[in-house]
Amino acid sequence: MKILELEIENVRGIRNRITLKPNGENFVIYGPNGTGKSAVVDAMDFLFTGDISRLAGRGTKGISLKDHGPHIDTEPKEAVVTAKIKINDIDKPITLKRVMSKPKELICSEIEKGIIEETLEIAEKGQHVLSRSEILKYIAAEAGKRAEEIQAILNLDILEEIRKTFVTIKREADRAVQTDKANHETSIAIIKLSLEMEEFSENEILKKVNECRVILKGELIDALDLERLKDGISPITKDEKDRVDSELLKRTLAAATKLIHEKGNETYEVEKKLRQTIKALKEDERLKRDLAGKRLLDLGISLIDETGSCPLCLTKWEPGKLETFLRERLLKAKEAEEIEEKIRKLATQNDTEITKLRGYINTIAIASEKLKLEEVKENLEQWKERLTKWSDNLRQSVEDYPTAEVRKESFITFLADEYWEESLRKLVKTAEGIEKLPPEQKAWDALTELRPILKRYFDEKKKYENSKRFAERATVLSKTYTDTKDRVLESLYNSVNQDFTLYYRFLHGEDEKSFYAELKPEGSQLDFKVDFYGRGTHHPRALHSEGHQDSMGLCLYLALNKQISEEKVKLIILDDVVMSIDNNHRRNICRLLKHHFPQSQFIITTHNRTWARQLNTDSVVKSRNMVEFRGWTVETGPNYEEGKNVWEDIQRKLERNEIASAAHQLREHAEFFYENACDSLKAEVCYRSDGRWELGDFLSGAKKAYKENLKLAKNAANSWGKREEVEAYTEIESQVNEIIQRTQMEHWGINENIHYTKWIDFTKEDFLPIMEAFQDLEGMFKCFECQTIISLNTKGVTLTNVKCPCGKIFWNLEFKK
Amino acid sequence: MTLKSISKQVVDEFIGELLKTKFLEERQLESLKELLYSGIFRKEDLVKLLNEEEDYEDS
Repeated sequence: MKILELEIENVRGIRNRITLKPNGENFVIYGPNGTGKSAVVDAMDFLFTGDISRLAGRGTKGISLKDHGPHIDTEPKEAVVTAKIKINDIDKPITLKRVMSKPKELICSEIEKGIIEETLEIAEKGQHVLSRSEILKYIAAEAGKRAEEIQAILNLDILEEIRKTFVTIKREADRAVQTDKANHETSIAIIKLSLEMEEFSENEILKKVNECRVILKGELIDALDLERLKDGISPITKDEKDRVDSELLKRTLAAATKLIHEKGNETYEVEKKLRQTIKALKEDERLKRDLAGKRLLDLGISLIDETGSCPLCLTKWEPGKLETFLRERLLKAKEAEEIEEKIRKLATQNDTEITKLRGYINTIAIASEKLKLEEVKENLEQWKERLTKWSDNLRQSVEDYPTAEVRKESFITFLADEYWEESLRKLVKTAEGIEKLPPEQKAWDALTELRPILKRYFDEKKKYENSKRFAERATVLSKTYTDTKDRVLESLYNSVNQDFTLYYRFLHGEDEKSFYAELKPEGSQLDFKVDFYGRGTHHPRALHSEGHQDSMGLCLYLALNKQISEEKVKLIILDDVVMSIDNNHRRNICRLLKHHFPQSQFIITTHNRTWARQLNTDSVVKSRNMVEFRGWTVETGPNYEEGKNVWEDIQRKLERNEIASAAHQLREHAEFFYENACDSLKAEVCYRSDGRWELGDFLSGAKKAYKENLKLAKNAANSWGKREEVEAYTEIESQVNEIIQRTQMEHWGINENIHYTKWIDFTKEDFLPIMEAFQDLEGMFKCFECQTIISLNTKGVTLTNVKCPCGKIFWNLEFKK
Repeated sequence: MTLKSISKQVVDEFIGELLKTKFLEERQLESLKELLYSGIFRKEDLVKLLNEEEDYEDS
């Protein structure tokens, strides 16, 4: 996607309507601060995203799109952005429009919406805009924050969301397994008790069932089927519901006693540890708050602005201090999460024993009822209820769990119930008095009682197996996803790192030819270190200058942009990003954009006039795509001039008889142009310690270099026997000599030492030959096709050629050996 | 299809790895892929999908 035309009405600092026509090509808006350049960036941001990112995020409390998006004197319905855009393979331009009164609604035809859906999906993330403050996000950020920022720019947040979801599912599944395991073990314990089994297995149950069936003269069965337990056996009694198996009762009483005595100590120790851990968590107010407010902490960190003040209460903090403080608390939250896990394990351990004991008590309570021991039954029911409540507490939140220290004696009493000893005595005595049942009756009753507990066993077994299988799946999915994500991201970051290094080396040339960087994911963090002149890798802010850091940010963004655009959004908006970068490196940025991003459309804003002109001189931006914002008032918005061509501008001045202004402009332009020409042709310029070179210094250096290279090219063509080339060079030689002669004759006309008043006597006719001579000379240094200054190329110390980027001009300088 | 290509690549490779393990059935993997591709899913949707086999067997 590229922008052909942009129309902005009443957005931010723009009053009424301005129309810009990039025509799908690079475009630059330059001018002093406060002239409305960024309003153009905001307008594009609004068109594609329905929002203005500058009005959201850190430090924007009290600022809203509705109130501060439209020009201050207009209503939201009057703030409109319209653009004609070009989609890669589609010839017909598409018109998009958005009005601030309905920011969520992108206006375009349904058919067009379908065509641009995927492109808009990328564009609406708004990641194609880079401002200086964003540059610093990637460079200055801590490793964890950088990973977030970079994942956000790459729209990878969803990967982290998926990972977190898998981890949550796994954690919950593990908890379910613990609970289901406790219930399953209880059901086994009850069967073991009921059938008097030493070791538990389903075969053993079947054996016991068949033993009963043999006593009852039934045939053996080959599988444990609830419906076949009494299959083919005639009932030997009419009503067995009030009868108690004294042997089973005795065994259950023994099992419960054994559990209380044997497991009592262990359960007490676990309970003690559990309460201590919960108490420690509850008493550490910060730890408790951090656990509860982890989300709030994440949000808080994201809202801290550059002043470093608290986003909630606006309390002033030294920059960076509040963020460090909150990050420490986030670490505490992690510690709290680990403590929570420890609590869960301890709670499950005790829950398993309590659930088992509850099962025994239930069996004993049923027997008590049958034996008409009402008081005992009542006590047992209350005990069971207490154990159930305890179990519930262990399975729920730690918030309400008691933390008071318990003495061992009172704990055992609590576990065993104060009436237990008395109930036990009564029950044992009653059990002794129960008439022993004949074997047939005993077998019949065993099968009767087995049915419900066997059903429970099967149900619990299935539930436990399902939850185990689910937990296993959740574990595999969680691990496989995390491993895959890490692998893909590592490869992505390697690729970004390679591009970053390439761009940075390109930008800094010989100075940083061995530069390298390390961009490595470390868990949820992203470590970024850069080489410092062969002296090892360091944090990007540790040793490099501010300008180098800015250029790193730009290179990293451009490397990331390759991943963002997906070859669909070819638009990159650079909002005043070269503030700290010096002149020479800015020029290299022009070359970087031209060389590495020929297919992209850059919309650049800058307050730096020199860089704007460099962008033009190096053919990154055509003259017609340069707009100068000269001034601004709240009533009228920006005062701007577009598509300025220096020669047309001088011509216009001559028409108006503004000779002094025309001469000044020509001199200023020529100084800038020949400085760049000297740079491109590696020309020799007379050294000045004060660095104040004048037009004459650059002009003579550039002319000399041009003529020497031309002579060399002619001789080289001769050595290869290329007659036609020799003739062409001779023709250029004669042209350039003639032009140079004219400029020498007319050079006085732009001499800066001529006093302003002298121009009063000059006419258009006097100055026109001067302008034409310089225009012609400039033409000799530039390619007619690509409008770029020719440059001298070398291999080590050997001169190889002079050429322009498009290759239309190519002077071979290598001789036949 | 609302995921970007990197995210899609992760999902594709993830499903590819699971396919090798034969841990889930192909129809489950297809559903999982679609769910993750959509970019909009709830935890409950994934839980339901992972439990599908039991439902399938039970029905």
